[in-house]
Amino acid sequence: MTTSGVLPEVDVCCQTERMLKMASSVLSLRLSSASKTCLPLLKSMRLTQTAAAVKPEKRFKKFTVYRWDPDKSGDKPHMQTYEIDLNNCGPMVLDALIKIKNEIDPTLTFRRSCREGICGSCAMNIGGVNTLACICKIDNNTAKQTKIYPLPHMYVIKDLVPDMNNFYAQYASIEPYLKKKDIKEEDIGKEQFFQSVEDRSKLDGLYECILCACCSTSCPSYWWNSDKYLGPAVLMQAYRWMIDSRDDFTVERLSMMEDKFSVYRCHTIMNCTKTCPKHLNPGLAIGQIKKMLALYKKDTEAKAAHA
Amino acid sequence: MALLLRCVGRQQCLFQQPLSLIKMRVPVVTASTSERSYDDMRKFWDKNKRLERPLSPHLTIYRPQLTSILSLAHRATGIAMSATVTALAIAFLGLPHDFTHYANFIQDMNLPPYVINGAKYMAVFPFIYHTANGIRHLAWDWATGFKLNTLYKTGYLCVGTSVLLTVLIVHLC
Repeated sequence: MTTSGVLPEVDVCCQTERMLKMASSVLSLRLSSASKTCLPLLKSMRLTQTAAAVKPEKRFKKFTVYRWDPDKSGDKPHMQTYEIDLNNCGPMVLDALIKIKNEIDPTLTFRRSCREGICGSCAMNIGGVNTLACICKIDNNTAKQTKIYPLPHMYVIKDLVPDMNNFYAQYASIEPYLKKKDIKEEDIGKEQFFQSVEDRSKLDGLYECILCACCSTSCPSYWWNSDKYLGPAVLMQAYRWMIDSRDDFTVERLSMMEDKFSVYRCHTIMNCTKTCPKHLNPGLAIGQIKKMLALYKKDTEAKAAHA
Repeated sequence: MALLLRCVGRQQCLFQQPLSLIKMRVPVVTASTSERSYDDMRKFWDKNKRLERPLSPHLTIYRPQLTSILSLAHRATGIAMSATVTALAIAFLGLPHDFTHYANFIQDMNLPPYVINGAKYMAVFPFIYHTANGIRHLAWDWATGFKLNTLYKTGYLCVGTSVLLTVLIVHLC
């Protein structure tokens, strides 16, 4: 009891003693150097130190943002430049946008919510690449301006806010939920559908998608055919449900894709995988769907012949 | 359509036994879910066109990167080669002399070497590049080589080998 009570105290004493020694040695070093050179130098050093803390050098950076206001009749889309001091701003592009909205122009409109890359609201085109503004670092090069556009080839509601309803409807069209055969509705929820660890791990890299639409709107095929082509994000979710071991509708889900547009407008451009802010691989998922489409008929025919 | 489906579903349900009622309801519910989404899509296009909303900029503002540039080059070389081959085939149908005659004609013109070599590069590079990138496409059709760093490695490899092979073919053959 006594030893355990005393030992830490001794330790603390040792530490403080050591710190005191260090401090005094630094002090003496400073004093001695000061006495060796001259006192004004020390004073000026202190001045610059304190001055740096009070008045940091301003680092102005230009942000050029796409603007369009539906309420101004005849308003044409245009770019507007804002200048903000990076020393007085958070590190991410979203911080800059919020700062502009708070301090310079309250009419600037954009979506944002979680500010940590999990909600997908602030998806936009920054510096020519689709990403989430909240996890995109501001380029510290103040000589270069950062250009911010809404997600490409989308109908604009206002400024940086695109109409996502087609994207969401496409997502709904693939029926992104577990579907079982031969189950009574009153039995749903009574017991769990178990899945092996291996089968569960097949969903890794797929279920993390936050549906921000960065990938779909980076895809030129989606730009030209967003009415018929489902796009990388939705197709990756379609694949996620196709390969879920608990789902009974794999064949039906595949046969939904049997047309010229739903999947096959993908020409493996791979802008989707390049741009995904969550580092997922929608291009791979589409590749897997194409492969499954090429093989599943043979499989089902073989099974039918076997039975 | 969704409304029709729902009405049909309900009417049938009325005349069914309780057990088959559940059986009937499940497919009807799923049918109307996807039907509803197609309805939403139609509404989306109608609304945006009616409100005359602008389309956000796309091709002009998206940063060119290896992924899109190589894809574009693959298509461009493919289209250019098909067009050239078709045009030459049709031309030779109508021209009075055969191929060797025109080859000799070009040889007799004594064109400077940079013109000849330039033409050779223009003819050889698209073919080699399209073939090399075609191998990448064959790999993708087997769902391999999709990892981002693999994409970049095979992309640079494809460009490198096609340039090298083109130079070799032009100057050695």
